[in-house]
Amino acid sequence: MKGEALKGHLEMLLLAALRSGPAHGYGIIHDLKSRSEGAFDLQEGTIYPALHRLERSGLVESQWSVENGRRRRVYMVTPKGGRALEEKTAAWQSFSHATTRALGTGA
Amino acid sequence: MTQPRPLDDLNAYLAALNAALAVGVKSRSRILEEAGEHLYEAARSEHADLVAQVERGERPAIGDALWTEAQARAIAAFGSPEKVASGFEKGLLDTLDKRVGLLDAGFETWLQRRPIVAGTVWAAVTSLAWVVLGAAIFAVGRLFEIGYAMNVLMPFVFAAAGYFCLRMVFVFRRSVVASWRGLPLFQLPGWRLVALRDWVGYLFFFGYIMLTDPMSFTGLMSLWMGLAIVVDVGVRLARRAGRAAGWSAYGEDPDENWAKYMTGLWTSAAITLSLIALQTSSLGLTAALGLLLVAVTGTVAFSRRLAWNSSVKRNWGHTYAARAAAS
Repeated sequence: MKGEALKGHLEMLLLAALRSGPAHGYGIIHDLKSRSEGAFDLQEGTIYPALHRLERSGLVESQWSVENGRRRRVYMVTPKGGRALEEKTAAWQSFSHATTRALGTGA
Repeated sequence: MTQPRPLDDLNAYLAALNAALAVGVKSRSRILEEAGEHLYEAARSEHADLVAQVERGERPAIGDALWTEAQARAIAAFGSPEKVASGFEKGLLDTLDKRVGLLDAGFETWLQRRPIVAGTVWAAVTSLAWVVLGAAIFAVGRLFEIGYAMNVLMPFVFAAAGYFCLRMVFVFRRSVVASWRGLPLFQLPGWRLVALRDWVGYLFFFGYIMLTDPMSFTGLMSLWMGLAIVVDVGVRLARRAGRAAGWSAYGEDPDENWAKYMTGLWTSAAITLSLIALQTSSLGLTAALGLLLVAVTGTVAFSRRLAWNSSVKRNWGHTYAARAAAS
């Protein structure tokens, strides 16, 4: 799935990737690729503008951490971000079920 | 056609990303640092994969070619600088910041061509910042007849002259080391001279005020700067003892420290003037304060630019050189 197809869903995916715990950008990308079994083929640099937008909206927060002498920006979901993820997930599932039914491909 | 050296690839990408970004200096610094870390991590991972292929006999091992290819793959997966940069939100101040960056780059080129002349101009400009600050405080002090504020101009002029002289020492020493703005980088006797500059300036300028009028604005400010210098020296000593890894508050680059001092100086001035404005609630003062704050904003942005520039040179230049050598 190319990056264009993920537009509009990227922020939800980023929140989902951070749900399991704080992570830095590189870790988030790998988590997304791993969860999607390589289906998400987005350009890695594009997650940073999205992460910055999420932070400005108060859905994630971040701080520098030092690991082995290297500085990394680590992101984590805020309570507001957790609620937003729940809402987005519910909306997505509703949309997905409806689309599946409309296409007539449901079980 | 000559292939770029492996070290230069990530740096070249970051330089291109920096050129494409139209965001403020604070965001810019963070974006570049995050992108740099990401790319380096990705390149290391790619490099490990390539080494494994070599070990399995699936490809030949050709010197630095593996690291070059690893970087190229990491960069390809990251996306073009223009595309990444276009995703970040930007405003009017960001555009202004970018213009300052272009001017900065132009000056850098001039400095390479005419190091003594450009270094002298730069020393004069940075020294004049003290005079501008002193004049601004003097003007407000005269307008509202605040005695101690009217007495700061001459000490600021002396400080500027002293600062200029010490800076010129660096300019003339530049022939022996790599330099930026005519200052030696990374190879310090530098740090001893910087410490000397700080302490001499402190003793002559702020020491006098501390002795004569310790509770004035400049007296309190001198206390702040004294504390800053103590922290600076403490961090340097901790670094030498290997106990300050990750500290970025005060670096080895004198311009970075100067930028931090200037930012603190302006902030102190702005806070003090705001308090005066609150007490007098005068229209004229409010207007003067507005003008001053415009100057403050510009200067702070400019000095932050210097701090960022130093930081980028230190982090991307040195860090990647060391990492590439280690990998």
